Amino acid sequence: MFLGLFLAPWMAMYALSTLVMNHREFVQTLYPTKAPEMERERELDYTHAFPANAAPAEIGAQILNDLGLVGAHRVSGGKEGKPLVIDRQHAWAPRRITWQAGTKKLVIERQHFRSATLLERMHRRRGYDQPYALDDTWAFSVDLAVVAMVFWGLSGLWLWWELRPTRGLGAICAAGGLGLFVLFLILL
Amino acid sequence: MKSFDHFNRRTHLYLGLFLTPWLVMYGFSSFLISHHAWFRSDQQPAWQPVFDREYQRAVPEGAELRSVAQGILADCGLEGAFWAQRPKPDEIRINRFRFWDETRLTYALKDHRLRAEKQKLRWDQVVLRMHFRGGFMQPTLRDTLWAVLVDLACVGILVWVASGLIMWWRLARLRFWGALAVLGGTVSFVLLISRL
Repeated sequence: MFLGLFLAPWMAMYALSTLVMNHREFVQTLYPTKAPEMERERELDYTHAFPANAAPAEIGAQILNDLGLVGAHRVSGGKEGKPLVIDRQHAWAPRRITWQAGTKKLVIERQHFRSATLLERMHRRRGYDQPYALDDTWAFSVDLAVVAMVFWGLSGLWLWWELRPTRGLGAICAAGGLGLFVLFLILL
Repeated sequence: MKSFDHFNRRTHLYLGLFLTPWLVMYGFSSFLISHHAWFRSDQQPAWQPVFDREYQRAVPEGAELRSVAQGILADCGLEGAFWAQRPKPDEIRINRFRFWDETRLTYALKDHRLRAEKQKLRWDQVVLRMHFRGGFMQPTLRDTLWAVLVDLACVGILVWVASGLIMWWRLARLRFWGALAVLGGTVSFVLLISRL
């Protein structure tokens, strides 16, 4: 019970975000654009000198460090004269940072807030791929939530069996759920 | 109030029993996704050739991609859930997926050739396909019903959370420790979300 109470926000978030994703077409009609717009936050000169053989990932990490925006991110581009693009992940306000090595210009854009996008972003945020303790902590909390889900499912079966008066109706619910699940497993 | 408590407890239990297969599936698949490096679940099984044959279908300029793809699938007797994309102007790629396997069709418009490949069954992929399957945009009734079940599982979880909170509140001797758990969970969640 206490684990359930602790993890209630995670469970509510996963349920709500799944509803949003399951009804994506409808949810998109509630907004003027498909994806949230990016708003230019600032533009600045960035003259840090990088060695010619510096990898885009190294450059990206250095730029984030210099901007005081260290955290989970993805780097793309930065080769063959293409601009280096850093997608700085953030639950509320993700940013896109574009650096043009030729002009030494940095453009920082911030995504407009949308509650549906926040939910979907949190749903997808998982894993231990990022080198930050904060991301590992989140990934651990997700692990805890999924292990708890399996545990609740299985412990619920035991609890039901212990409660004699609920055996009949409980058996119908358990068999109904399992039957439907197996049916769709075969059909789909 | 006793009858409400009784109803609440029973709802919590029966709903949980009904949704157990979904909870186990979502729990197990989420663990696979979170630890994809351990299970190599991000590595797709190899595509095995099924056929490569001549195929003629006129694709008018500006034709709706999904309806074209649906026509190709019908010609191959492969109707069902699919995604379609046009990676190049003269190529249409269709992924026809089931829980058990996936077939990829590639139609080369210029050469008038249709190639089909299939992925071999792999258990981790079955669970992952179940996890990602949802939405109401697929053409068959079965898919719509599955999407309804996904909705039901979500609403069920929300009811579960609400009924669990009510159950805890009604057990006076557990209020203090329960309050600590609720507070601890909410504060941790808000802190993580605000910094992530």
